[in-house]
Amino acid sequence: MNNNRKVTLFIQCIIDGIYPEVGFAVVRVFEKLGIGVECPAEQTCCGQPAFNSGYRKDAKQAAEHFINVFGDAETIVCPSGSCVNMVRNHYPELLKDDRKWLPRALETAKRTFELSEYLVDVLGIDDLGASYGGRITYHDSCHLMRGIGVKEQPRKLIKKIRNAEFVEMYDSDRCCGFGGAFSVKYPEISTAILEDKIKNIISSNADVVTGCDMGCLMNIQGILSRKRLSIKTLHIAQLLAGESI
Amino acid sequence: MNDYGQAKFLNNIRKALRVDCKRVCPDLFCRQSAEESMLTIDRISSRPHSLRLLLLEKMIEAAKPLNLNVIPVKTLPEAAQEIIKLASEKKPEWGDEESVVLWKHPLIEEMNIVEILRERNIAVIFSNQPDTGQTERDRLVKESAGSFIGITSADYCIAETGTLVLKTAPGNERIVSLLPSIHVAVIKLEQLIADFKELYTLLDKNLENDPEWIENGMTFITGPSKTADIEATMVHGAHGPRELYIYVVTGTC
Amino acid sequence: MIRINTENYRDEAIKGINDPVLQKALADLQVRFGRGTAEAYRNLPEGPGLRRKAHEIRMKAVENLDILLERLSEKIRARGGHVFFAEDADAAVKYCLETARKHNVRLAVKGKSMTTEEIGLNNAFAAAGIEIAETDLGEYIIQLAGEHPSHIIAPAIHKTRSEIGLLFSEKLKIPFTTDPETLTRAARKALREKFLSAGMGISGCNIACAETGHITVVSNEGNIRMSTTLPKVHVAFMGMERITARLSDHDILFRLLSRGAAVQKMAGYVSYIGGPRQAGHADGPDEFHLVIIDNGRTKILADEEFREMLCCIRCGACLNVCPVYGKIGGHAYGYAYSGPVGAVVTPLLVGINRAKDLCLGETLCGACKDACPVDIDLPRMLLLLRSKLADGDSKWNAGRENTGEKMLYGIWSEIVQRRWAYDAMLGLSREGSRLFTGKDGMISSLPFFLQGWTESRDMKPPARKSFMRQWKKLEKQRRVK
Repeated sequence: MNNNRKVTLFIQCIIDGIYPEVGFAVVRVFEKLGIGVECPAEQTCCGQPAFNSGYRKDAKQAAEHFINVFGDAETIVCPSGSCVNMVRNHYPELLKDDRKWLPRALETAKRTFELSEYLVDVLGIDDLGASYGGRITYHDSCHLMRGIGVKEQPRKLIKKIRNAEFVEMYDSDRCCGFGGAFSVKYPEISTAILEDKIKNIISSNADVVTGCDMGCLMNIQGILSRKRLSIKTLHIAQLLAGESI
Repeated sequence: MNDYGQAKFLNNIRKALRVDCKRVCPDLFCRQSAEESMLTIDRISSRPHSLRLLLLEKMIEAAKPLNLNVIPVKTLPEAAQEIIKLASEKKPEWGDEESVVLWKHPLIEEMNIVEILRERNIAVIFSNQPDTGQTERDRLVKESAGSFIGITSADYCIAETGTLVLKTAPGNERIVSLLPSIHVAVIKLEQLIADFKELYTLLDKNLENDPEWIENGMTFITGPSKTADIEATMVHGAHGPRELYIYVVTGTC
Repeated sequence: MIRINTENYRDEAIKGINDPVLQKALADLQVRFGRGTAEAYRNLPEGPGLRRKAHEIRMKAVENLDILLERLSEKIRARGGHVFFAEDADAAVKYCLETARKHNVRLAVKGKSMTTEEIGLNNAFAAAGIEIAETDLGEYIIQLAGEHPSHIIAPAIHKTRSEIGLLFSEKLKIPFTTDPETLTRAARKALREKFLSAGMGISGCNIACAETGHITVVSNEGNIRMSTTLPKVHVAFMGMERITARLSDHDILFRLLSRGAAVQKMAGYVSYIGGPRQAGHADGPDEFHLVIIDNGRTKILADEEFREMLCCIRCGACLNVCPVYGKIGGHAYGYAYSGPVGAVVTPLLVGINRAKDLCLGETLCGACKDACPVDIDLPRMLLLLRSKLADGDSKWNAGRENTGEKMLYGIWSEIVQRRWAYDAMLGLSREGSRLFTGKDGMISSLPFFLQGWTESRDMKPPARKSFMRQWKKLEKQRRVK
């Protein structure tokens, strides 16, 4: 049914460098749907690390590179709410005084979607025929939920996964304490916030915690691993691709 | 002339806003449209008795979590009886002497409560007597602080939140609703309005007729005094009245 | 006189995190208030969108401040009140002290006011030998304990009932008890004596009304009514931005303020005060003084990118949802204002470099924006403050904070524009990470600035081949086929 559709993927830098398997899970999700996938070879990073640390000139260069690379793409899909928030909400702010780049930024923003948002809102699909034997809990990433307002879409997708039980954790929409450079610059505060998140994950009795942002999941995985806890962290694409790692 | 720093201060603001003092902002003080305001005021004044009783029910519900007592009574004498019953049940918080301080207000005068209270050896203090000088102020503060009950009426009462609206006026002093341990307010059902939107529409109307309508003071009271500053435990009667009773005279129709 | 301790953010934060009493109190507070606020906004008849309307009302007031303040002072003076315009904290404090001296005030009672905390009024009075009694129960407790408030509306949340019991038995000479009701009664009695004997009452101002010429004060305890009604002189302090044009603007603002501050439909007491006791009236102060304070606010007003900060009505709602405040508590912020509002307003008032940790020590989760009753975009301004730290800004006397970091990002920005260079960077980090990867395939200790991560967390090392490298290879194979 989607023979003519094609999406262009923007792979978040964390996925690209550390979790390439998540990128391939995204590819498989679109393969399942019979949707063609492209990945511009020149893509790098959306610029958020620089922007969040205040280095706007540097972030601007990354933004311009992004807009150039994805200039011709009809639909840009990204498996990270944080990156989409950057493109959709911060690019226009970053480039607001630039008459050449601002229209392009606004126009690119319109074509950029987060994965779960694209599947549910644009394609109208919530069942990907995936299967996972276990209890799944979901963490609402801040930029995904408060930044671009995606809350129900991932839940719809998870609830359709066969053999799986979905459990809400307490305070699922509370920050995990990642905050990019914040986690490294203020580790004590970051960890204190993360500890609460871990408590809520444990109390949910889930054996996998999923989300739409590898930044948060990397943070959560980091402390789960340190605590030698067996709860797994999987990006939602990995669940939807039918993987059961 | 000493302008207490005003000119320079305001000039700094104008500089920051990059405007000059001659600019005009014609709609700055514009109130809501006369038409809209008329509609609201009509709605309030022509509200049928049955709807007012519904508002009262709503207020009784809103009062529950506030530890606020809203008591419907049919007539003013019935209100008087209830208040006297309350006075005989309650003990003074400070000292042994029982005294009640009252607003000078037609509704309260109509209750004819003074004689009955005096018969029961409860002292009655009127909040405003002819001598309004310094001594009167000190007397009133002292006597109100010693009173265990303060009786007021109100200008309006808001059903949605259980809020009393009290304007300061000679005879309607603020401390009567503040210093005594128990605050009792007597209002007529007609004074009950739905919400704050209605209140501010009425206040706007009053201001239109008299720009100084509020004078130097107006207070909204929602429930008895409360605090949750010790481990978030709710305690009533932090500084203001520990209890609040609102008697709403519904009439007999 | 003014206490500014923003440089110790990190140390104070760690102290807060390691204080189990504070941790429990903060968690309770955030559950009680934070979770309820969003619900309360949703239940508004007009819906949460009303916050935008409130923002517009506040913004319009801020953009016409000169007109509004002129009107306010005119009206108050017409009723015999005094209005003093104070450009800085010193001027405000001096005026209040002179007024106190003129009336031989020995004791002043004060209703909760963050502005007086901002200008350091208590210390100045103490130095002049005049007692200021805090009368909000929470403020009274911490004053007795010799501490500073840690929350805008719940200043004593960091104290347990047994600590308060001990404090009261020592200072008020009452038998030790942990019962909040008995403790509240003891404070009621002690403070009532002070209310009745004080020569001066001091308050802040929540939102003034220019049209009618009134300030408003809001409380639940009734202490502010006491302080502004009983003493013969009332001095009110207001930040110059705390005003609206019309009386009816207060409808929306008070309903939102009550919900934001304490999940109430309406605060217990809202009082309009427009001057001293009028002829024929038997109560109220003989003298009323309003001190309108700038103290750095015109600078915020002049910068359009920060101007919306002046819409703030200091309700504390953002504190109740902030994950960072929820862990470190109010003292870490080192000034009168804590939490997200403090993180933005303090750097603007005391200096961006001086308060750099407040700008950087936040997660940017955005919860504060959703909780704000007047819809202020605090995360946007936090990001903006960070840009001032990164590049410096002469307008704000801000200097570049970290030259090394600046250089790194300069290099980074060149790299991200070239995929080949980006691949090389990934390759380097992968090679580097080998040194630190353990048998379980995770990194448990990282060097240099990355050390912070591995203090409590492991990290998965970079993949052998990045997604893009693998993808390109697959693409090539596909093409060959």
